Amino acid sequence: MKNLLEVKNLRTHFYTEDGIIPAVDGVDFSLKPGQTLGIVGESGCGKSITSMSVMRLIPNPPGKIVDGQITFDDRNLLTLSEAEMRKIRGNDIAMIFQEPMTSLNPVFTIGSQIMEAIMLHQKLDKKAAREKCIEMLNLVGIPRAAEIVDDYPHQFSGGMRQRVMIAMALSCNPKLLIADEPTTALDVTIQAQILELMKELKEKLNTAIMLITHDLGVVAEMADYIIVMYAGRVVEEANVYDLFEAPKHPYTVGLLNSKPNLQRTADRLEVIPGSVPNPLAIPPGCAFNPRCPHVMDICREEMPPLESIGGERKVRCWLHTKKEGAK
Amino acid sequence: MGKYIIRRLIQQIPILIGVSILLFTIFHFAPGNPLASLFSDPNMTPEQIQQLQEAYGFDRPAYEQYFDWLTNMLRGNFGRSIQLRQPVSVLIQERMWTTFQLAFGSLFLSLLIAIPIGVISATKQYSIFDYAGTIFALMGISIPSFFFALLMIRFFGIHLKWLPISGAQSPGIIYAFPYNIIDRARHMILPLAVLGLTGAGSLMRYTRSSMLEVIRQDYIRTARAKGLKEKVVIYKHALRNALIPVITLLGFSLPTLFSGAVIIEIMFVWPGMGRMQFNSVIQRDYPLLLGINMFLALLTLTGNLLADISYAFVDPRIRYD
Repeated sequence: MKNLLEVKNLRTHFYTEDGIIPAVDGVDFSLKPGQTLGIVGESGCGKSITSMSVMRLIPNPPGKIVDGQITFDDRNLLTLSEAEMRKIRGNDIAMIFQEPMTSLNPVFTIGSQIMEAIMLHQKLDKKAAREKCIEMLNLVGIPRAAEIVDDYPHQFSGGMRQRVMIAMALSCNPKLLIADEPTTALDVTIQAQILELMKELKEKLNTAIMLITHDLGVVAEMADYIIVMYAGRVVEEANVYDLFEAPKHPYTVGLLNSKPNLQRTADRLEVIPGSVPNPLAIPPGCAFNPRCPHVMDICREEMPPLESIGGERKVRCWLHTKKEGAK
Repeated sequence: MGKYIIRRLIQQIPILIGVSILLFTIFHFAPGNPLASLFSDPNMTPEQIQQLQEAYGFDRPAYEQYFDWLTNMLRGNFGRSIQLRQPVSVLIQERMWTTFQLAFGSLFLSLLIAIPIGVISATKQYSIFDYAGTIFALMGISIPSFFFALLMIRFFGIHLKWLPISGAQSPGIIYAFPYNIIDRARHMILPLAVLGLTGAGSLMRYTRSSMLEVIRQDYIRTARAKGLKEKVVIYKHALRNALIPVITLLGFSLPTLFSGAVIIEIMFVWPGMGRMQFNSVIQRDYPLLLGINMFLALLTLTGNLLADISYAFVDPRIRYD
């Protein structure tokens, strides 16, 4: 099957007074129609910036996509004009965000906010858009949809607002839904409901999902394929079974070990020593080397390439990549 | 909403009574009285002075004078101006409209300048336009309005002779229909420009900072992610939110517009309330002075009430019930 989205060597840098921050520094991945891709990593690893780059919503200045190619449906998004890009946003690619409490405009009714996208992209009149809007609200499981379309966001709970966001995002039948930490701000029960809803709608509408999260439980539940990011780069990619079965990169291993486990009793959770590097001073060589338990000399000198290690698996680590001439 | 407005209106009664006590006390404790200039006349005999005092009731205890004033006011009688020998209510009504013209004209002009510049300054933060706007705003805030008025008079009135510099219309000439309006408009330009431009400064800074805060909000990102045009994002989604705090400022500025124009009305010999207010202070014209100040107090309360009501219209999170 052809790829729906193909990101090649994406570099998004931020130009600040203190220097250049390479928030995304050469990221490659691809996504097939109807597939769910999980992007995992700690805060500041560049996962949200990657998604904002796909939407071309990086605030400029200070941010800028300096290099790369984002091919969506055979078009390179980075060479499109702003007007062409607007036709894709909200229509072919839609997005939901982390904070449902603040992601809806407080002064407009939820109906008008959902209808806005429908009227813009599907060229429906107000009446038809309203019907479509009510249909979408029903679809995302909001009770009494016809009555609450004229309510304002503050009248809804966090979980309900996220449902509204999902209704808004899916109202134009996008081919790709970018979900940036969609359940992080919600409590666990609501989290499960929202994930269930996303899964169900994905099946129904055959939407590809790019799921950004730091929650490994969420990706395990949702994703077909996972990429792990660290300091602006992909360090490992694998399908969901392989990754959880046998993680290769020491960072992925560390992440999985630091998760609480029902089969294991421990007083303390394991941690990855150290902290995320300062984006202005990423260590030379492999960015993970100061925190890596298996660090070797070469890790401090040279950045390992992201190399295939059989099947769809790729890893960026000298432990798995033999450098020619190295021991 | 209706209940809320009625409740607020009822609340205003004790406030106004409190204000009336304060005003009366302050003015009566201030040295001098409306007859002071007559007393210094060497031809006045003590008997005549006594007679005059009694005629105006100034010899009676202050609280009696207060209650007289208050009960008369409740009957709609604000007393007569000592200097102008006319009922205070008539005087205020006569002058109110010329001041209204100036006040609302300048407010409108301020908004017309401040809001677009504030919005563009915020969306293009740290651009040349933003810096120019900031300099303009700081000039508006820091140049005293009387000095700015003098500059305008000097340049447009005396040097270029483009515009009249005093009064609300040309004296002694009666123009036919369209020309009388044009004549009045020409007289308004300079005082309007001075008040409007000096007022625009702070309003512009206010709009800018409010807008800067709003365009960083998550829902602005949502609006962009929908594929909306940047214009719709800014002027529909952001501006509506950014104007909420500006409305408070407008509510408070209603009374300031009236009293704040005093200096400008004097400089341009504008026949409004400001000049009358100034003269009433100089002459210690108690009935007029108190009448005008009560009017301003009522205006302050009305401004606040209007701001609160309009809040509910622009911000659905605010409901009064």
